[in-house]
Amino acid sequence: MVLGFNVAGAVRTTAVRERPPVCGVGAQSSRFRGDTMVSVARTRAFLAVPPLRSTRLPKPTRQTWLHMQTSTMQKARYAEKAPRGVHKEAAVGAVKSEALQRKNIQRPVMVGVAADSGAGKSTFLRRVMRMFGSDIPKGHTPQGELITVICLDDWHNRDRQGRKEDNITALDENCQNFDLMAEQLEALKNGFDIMKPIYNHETGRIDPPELVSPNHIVVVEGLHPMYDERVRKLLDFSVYLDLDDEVKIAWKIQRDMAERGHTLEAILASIEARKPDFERFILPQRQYADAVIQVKPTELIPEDKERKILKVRLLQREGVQGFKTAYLFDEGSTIEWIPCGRRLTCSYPGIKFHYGPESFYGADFSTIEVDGEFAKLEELVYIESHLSNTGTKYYGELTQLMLAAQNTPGAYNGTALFQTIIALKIREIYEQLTGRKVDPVVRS
Amino acid sequence: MKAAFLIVPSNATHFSSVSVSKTRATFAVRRTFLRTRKTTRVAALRMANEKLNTQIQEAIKNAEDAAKKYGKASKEAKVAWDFVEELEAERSHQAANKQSEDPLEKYCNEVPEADECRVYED
Repeated sequence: MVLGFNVAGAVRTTAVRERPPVCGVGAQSSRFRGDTMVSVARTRAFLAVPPLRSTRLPKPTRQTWLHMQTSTMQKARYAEKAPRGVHKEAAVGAVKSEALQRKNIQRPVMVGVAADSGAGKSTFLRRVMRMFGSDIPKGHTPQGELITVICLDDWHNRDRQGRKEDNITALDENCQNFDLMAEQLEALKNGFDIMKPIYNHETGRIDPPELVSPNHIVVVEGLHPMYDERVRKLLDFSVYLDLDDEVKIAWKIQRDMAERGHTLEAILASIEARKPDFERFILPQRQYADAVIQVKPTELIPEDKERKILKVRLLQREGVQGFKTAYLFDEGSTIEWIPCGRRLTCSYPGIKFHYGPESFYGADFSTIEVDGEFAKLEELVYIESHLSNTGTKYYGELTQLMLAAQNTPGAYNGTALFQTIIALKIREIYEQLTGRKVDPVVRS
Repeated sequence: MKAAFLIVPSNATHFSSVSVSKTRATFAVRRTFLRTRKTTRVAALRMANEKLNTQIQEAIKNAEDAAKKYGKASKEAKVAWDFVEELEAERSHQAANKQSEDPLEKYCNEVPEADECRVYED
């Protein structure tokens, strides 16, 4: 194993494998852990000339630390694929990551989440992250104890200026470096560190790459997780968030018109302009998803314009390994259920459920639909007690999780319910595939 | 001594006229709303990067100009509207992140029935 680090402490930004070994070192192990300083000092003892007392090794700064950690990296095969050489610093680990041993990772479970912007992706991801630990360190790529969330926009092969010059949108397939994405995600799944490029949404530029280590659960979210076949094969579970046009407009109005200067015409024009690329590149991924959350306008209120009440459908693919589909009363049958009545009083316009099998793009799916709003605790508990196979570990967990996220958008309708169920399912799939147990987040 | 104390929390976003009685030594505690859902959300959005807001304004203007110049279905217009969408998504992400850093919000998410978390709608 070749050591590629510079004992004098000079920092190079690119770490390449072909470097001559430091003289006299021999076959020192190149796995860096917390005792890097010790191993380096030990290395110096082997030098022919004893170290001068004045030449102390500098305390590892963050850049040096990253450099030492990344010295076992090799340049990614497709790093030159992007135009204008924006990904040339991308790297892939040459040895298995030390995170595998440190965190006792058996095999990383990869989950893909596809959605257009403004479809509720970040709300959904926050629910999933909360399921696996409440303190996720902030940063461009949140890497927590159990879960890492990677944004696929990082593999844009053109920054904003480049897209302007070449006249392509971020939705376009030619705007992603799928080769590098597939190579790095496969490396990550197989237990190697990667130096992943960063796309900065605020400046619109591509920043120098960051180190991403494998984790128990790796969520890849963005516009094209299921577009490329190589990436699709790596995903153990995939989710697609789908919105109807009217709901899309209503949510965009809520999100952007609160700020001054936005007109309805601008919002409608923006959605119209986005549609052709959306239908060409994002929508086809829906057929590959294992779970689809569809948000439609309600059918309970005729002539509803506010779009506050929504009808949400959860489509679950049958036959996915580790994925036990949630159901109502009797698995495989068709049920229409209105829980409001003598035992439960609901506010207008009430709640309506549907459950049944469905054929979606020619495959077997089970669908749960809920139309209406539930704000009261009793309604949530009542509904939870009648749903089966939700993936909860104790009675009331679903209700508690939904209450904990009360202030998020959609907290009182089917979006919260189904996003929480899918988050629970991801936990269940992880446990099924790895044989490990995840402690539920219990609130006092 | 006769004095009336008025306790107003420092983060109250607005307070209406308060009656101060000078004849009784009472605590005139005004149950001003500490926060409402609506004001928190709007305040968070306002606190979001001002620079980002001006960037969005410019981007919308560019997009509308491009649509006028090249046509609504042209590539230039699509790219310009894509920039607007990207910036708006970034702004809402930042606002959402900022909102979750507030310890009061976090506490109220855990214990919504606490006194500090009472919500008053006008």
